[in-house]
Amino acid sequence: MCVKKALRMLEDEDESGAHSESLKGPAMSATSISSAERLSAVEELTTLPLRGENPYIRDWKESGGRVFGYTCSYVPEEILYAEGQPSRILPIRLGAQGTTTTDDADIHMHKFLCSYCRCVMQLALTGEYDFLDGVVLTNGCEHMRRTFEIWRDQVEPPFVTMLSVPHRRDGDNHFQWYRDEITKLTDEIGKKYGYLPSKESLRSAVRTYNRYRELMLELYGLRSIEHPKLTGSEAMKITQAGYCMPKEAFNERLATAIQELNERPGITDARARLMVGGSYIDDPWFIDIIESTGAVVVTDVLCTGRKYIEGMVDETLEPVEAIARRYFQRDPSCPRMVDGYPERIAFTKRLAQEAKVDGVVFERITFCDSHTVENLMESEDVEELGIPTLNLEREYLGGDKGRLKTRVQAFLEKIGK
Amino acid sequence: MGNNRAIEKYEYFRRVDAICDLITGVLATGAQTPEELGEHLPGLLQMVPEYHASLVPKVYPDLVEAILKPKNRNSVGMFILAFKDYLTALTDNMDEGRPLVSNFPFFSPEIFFSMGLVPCLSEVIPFVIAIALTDGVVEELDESERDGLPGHVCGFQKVPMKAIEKGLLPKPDLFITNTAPCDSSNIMYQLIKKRLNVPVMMVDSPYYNDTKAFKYFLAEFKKMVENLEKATGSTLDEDRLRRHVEMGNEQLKYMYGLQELRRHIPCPDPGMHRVLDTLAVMMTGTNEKLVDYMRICYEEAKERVEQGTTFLPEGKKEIRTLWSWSHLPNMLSLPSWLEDEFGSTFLECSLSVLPAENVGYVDTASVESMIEGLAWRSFNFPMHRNVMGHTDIHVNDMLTVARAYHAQAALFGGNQTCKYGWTLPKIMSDVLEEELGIPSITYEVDYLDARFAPHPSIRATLTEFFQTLV
Repeated sequence: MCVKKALRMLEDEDESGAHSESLKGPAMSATSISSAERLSAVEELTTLPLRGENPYIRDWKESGGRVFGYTCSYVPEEILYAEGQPSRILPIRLGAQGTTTTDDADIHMHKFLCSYCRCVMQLALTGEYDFLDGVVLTNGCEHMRRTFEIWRDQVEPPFVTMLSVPHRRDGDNHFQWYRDEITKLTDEIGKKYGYLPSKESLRSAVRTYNRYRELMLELYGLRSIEHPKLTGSEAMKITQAGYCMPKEAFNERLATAIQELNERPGITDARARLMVGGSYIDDPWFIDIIESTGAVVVTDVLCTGRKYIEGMVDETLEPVEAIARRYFQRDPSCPRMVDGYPERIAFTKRLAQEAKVDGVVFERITFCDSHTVENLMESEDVEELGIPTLNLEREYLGGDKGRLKTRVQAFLEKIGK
Repeated sequence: MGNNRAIEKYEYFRRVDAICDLITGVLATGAQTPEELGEHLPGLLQMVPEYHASLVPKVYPDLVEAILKPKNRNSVGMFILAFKDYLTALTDNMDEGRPLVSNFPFFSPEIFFSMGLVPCLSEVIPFVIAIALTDGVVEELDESERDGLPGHVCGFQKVPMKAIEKGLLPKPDLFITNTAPCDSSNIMYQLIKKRLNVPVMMVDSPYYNDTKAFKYFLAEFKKMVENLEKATGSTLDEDRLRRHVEMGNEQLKYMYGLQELRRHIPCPDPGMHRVLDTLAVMMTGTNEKLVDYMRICYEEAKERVEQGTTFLPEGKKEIRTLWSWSHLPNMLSLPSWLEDEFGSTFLECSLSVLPAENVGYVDTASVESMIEGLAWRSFNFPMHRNVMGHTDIHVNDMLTVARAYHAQAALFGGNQTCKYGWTLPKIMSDVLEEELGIPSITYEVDYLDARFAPHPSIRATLTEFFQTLV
């Protein structure tokens, strides 16, 4: 299969309303999970409606489950997901795909703040996240930590809390702080909802999430092979589906999707093999721009992608301790961690080499200090390997596409592709 | 020694040293207006070295005008002497071959002095240059941008890094900072470590401002002291520590006294001092002249209260103004201009507010008590207490000040690079309006780069605001 064909398939889906409209969900809004099963697993996972129109979220809520939103990969999902009483919590990662304006958010959040945070806040302020029973934010970055107060005071959700994360990981005290924050989180949820996860339920959640990571790594393996079985855009959509489904259901569908993908012919005419790294991406438009040039994104170092699935929870340890260790001490870390650059760049280099990329596209959302500087550092070091890099600035909302495409095309020409 | 002396070898030191000399010289003429100074200037230029004279055309004229005013001249003069002393001690220390440690402002300098080190305030030196000179540090800002660091990344780290790369500032043996206040600082120190190949010791600043957070911070602070001793081979001297801590306590005693006096109507303390107070707080316990600076500010303000006088122009009605974010370093003359034009007095800002009940004094009973006290102070100093936690702390601090000082207006001049500040304008203005009926204005600035918000545009914006109030 060629990359353009893969993209055309997605465009056809767009024309039928299944993908682009999926943000509002008409294709799936009146359907149930059972009718979704008529689709192939790949089709289902790449067209899953998001947010309140997502049938898995609807079913979860209708069956008495609660749904919590979070934004940062330092929120320990297994803790939330572990079966408790009286009901389970489904953690979903908050995106703002398809948002076209930040009119309401901008009243509270100045233009110097990241457009991802403003887009998420826009959805919260306009009621698209009213289905959430709770929100867990972190001090992951300046922009995100300042989202907390606006969410708390302007949206007034049933439950909102902050899980603070130290900026260093090399001392016991740093880990203990994070561990205590998890205890505080469970205590607060317990007080609000009577949520009391047992050790066995935690272990079960750990097994489910570890399985999820194994499968996702397998999916990534299908991207980085000589003839990738899927585009970067498809991979991102599948990843996004994983953020918004119960992991058991996702694992089952993903396992099937992997089988389907394995049966596909690989992409043989990629103009170039690229890696993407940098700021938060959960909307495939940026990947689509890159791949519209004929290149294929064969791997990434995004906190919404490869970095998110890196590292297993040790199933032999006491579960809360093990979960805390995996989330807090994992490498590669976020650039906010002041002691993690050597491991982060080693990871980026390793992935770039393993996937035999022709170049790396580093992107940053305007005003994102962490990735602006991190991209610069990583770019310098990656180029030392002889791998060319491109640094792009963008907004979270899908604008400026012409300029970005031109930059990517020029980059490909520059590297002789 | 020739130009091997640090004060001559490093252009930024030389520039600040010359600025100190020029201001001292200007004040020594006794002139109180630019016109009077004009008469003395030819003679002054003949007396100063050629290098000093070359800087004169670059000095902000409105800054000179403000410094000459009787309300400002004594305190500014003493502050300049204090800074000159600091710079001399620093460069002498370097000339003696002692380790050079660069520390984050607001991070207790007394520890360094107790080890026989003079900390290099790499982030503050550009601050002083930007205060005085029209071209400030723009060359280094522009070169940083050409290197890929955009304007929204904080200049307080970009400029020192570039200045060190260019040999304008010395390369320290060690950087010490904490993980407050922002992403820009945290990631820039990782870049600094990589680019300059200098170790960076980072004390982790926890989120929140409660007992548990302080316990965590104290452990980090103690670890920093231990590591500093190992890294520099210097040991903490108890007597020396006590001497500097006592100086710091004395300095803060006047600072707290001034805060009380500023509650008085009319405010007896000129606003230009808020910027200098910030610098003084960053250098707490550094030398006796800083104590003298705070004492002069205090005594002049006290005298005005006791004699019922004001520094405002005759007949000018006071508008008691809270600067609900910060002052503007590159426009030191702004508070003085606002006083003269609109009667707007500068009560407090987030970098000057230092509630005595939160910070207090350092107990000098033992090394342990001093270290704990210094950790407590660093934990509660500006850009830590009001930043490392929810905005509620900042908002409540400002509301408390507004209420206690009887504020009537608020200015939110937000620094573009301080991302954590940019949800505050709306929250602050709503709270001040709803609770106290205080109107606010928000405008955007860059602390180090005057081109981002040119001075005339700031004056025009604030004129429009104050004209609606008078």
